[in-house]
Amino acid sequence: MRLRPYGDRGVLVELADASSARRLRDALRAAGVGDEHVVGWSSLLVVGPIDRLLDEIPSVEIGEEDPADPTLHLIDVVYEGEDLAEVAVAVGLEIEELIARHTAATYVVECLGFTRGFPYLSGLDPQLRLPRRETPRQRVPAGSVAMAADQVGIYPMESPGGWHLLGRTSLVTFDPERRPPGVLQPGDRVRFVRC
Amino acid sequence: MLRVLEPGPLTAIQDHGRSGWLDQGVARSGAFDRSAMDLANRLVGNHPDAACLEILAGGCRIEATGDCVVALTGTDGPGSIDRRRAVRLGRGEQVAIGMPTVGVRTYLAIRGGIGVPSVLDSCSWDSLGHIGPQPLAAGDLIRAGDRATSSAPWFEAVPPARRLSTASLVAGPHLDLCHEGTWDHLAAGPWRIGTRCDRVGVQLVGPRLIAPSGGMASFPVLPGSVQLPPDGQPFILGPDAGTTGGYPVIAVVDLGAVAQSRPGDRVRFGRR
Repeated sequence: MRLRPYGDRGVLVELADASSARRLRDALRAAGVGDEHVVGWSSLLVVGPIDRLLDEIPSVEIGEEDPADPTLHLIDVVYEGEDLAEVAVAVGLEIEELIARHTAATYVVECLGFTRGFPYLSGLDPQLRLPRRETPRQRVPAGSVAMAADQVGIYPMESPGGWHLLGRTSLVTFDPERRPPGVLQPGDRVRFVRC
Repeated sequence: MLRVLEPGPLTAIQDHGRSGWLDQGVARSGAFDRSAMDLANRLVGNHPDAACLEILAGGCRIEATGDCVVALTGTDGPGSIDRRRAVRLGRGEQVAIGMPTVGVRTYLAIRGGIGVPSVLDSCSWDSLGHIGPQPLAAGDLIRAGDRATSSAPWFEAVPPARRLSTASLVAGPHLDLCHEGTWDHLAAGPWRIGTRCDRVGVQLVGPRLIAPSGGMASFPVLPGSVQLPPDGQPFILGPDAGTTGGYPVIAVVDLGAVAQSRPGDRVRFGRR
């Protein structure tokens, strides 16, 4: 665990992975340390008075493991993404095999960000990994299920983006009237279901 | 109460923004020049949390559909009413804002605040996340809300705010990953505002800084962060910036320092 002061706004804590970040977040919230806690891919941002945070964060005990029964979301996907055929060639698989491997994995929602409702998922089959597209698209359609490097994401709204588009879901990942507004939360599990 | 005749390039509702939703990927948003908006609310006698209009550049025209009290702050330049004092408008009277000669974001407060439903505890428009009331279009009606205090409006002009000549820099979390001298070069400049300059972020153009090599896993970021992308030109995250980033954050700066800047303007940094 490494603590980096974030200007005068808070402390960015670097951790081994997002699971540690979630557990530290829970421990800090339980102990009443920090005003806001934001989980990153392998970090936790704690907003608050930095002298107090630098003093108190190291003394908080982090829990051992994630909760035993995380929420599992089954997400319907139509695998007709614009990059599907190109990705299949690049990773050396038939399209059917690519889809089979993508739907076989159980993914973990590691963090939210980029835009509201965008989940960063880990758990991608190592054989499917590709660096992000050289030229980002100006417009990625809302609901696109996409991947880059070892990450999978769902674009909650039309936006620019550099990830490879595999398919599309009708799941709305963000609802400002819902509490919390993100339908997928850090620590949740996801499986994609072909439809 | 008010009817938009012409919105200009971008006129949107802003208040103090959203707090407490960063972990859901929701930006803070809120007025870019918070002190200017606070002054507008004080002049008409509103609570500080009342929503105002943030009016970019010139070309906005608004008509009163009934008696009301408004105030303009943030900029100087041509306009149909005085800035920095409360003004009574009667039915049919207009507020027209020309291209400012000083500043770029004008705030219009109406006594009572703007009456719109809040989304995630704020009436602010988020230009990236598309949360909150949409930017205004010609014909839109603006109703006054219930955020007036018992204080009377202030009808005498107040002097223009003293603009800070330098923006205070505080070291960011990744400064130690950068080459030695990065901090001195950042502080020294000289910097100008680049063409990319909006509520999502403000690009700085000047001496090319050397970005550390190697990618970073997405980490949470805050508005006012000075990011250093591989092209070596720093980028200040604005109020609507995404909540995670992947470029080193070398410094943090008060957004008020660039809230009224336009492309080509000089920016001077001081160290705190």
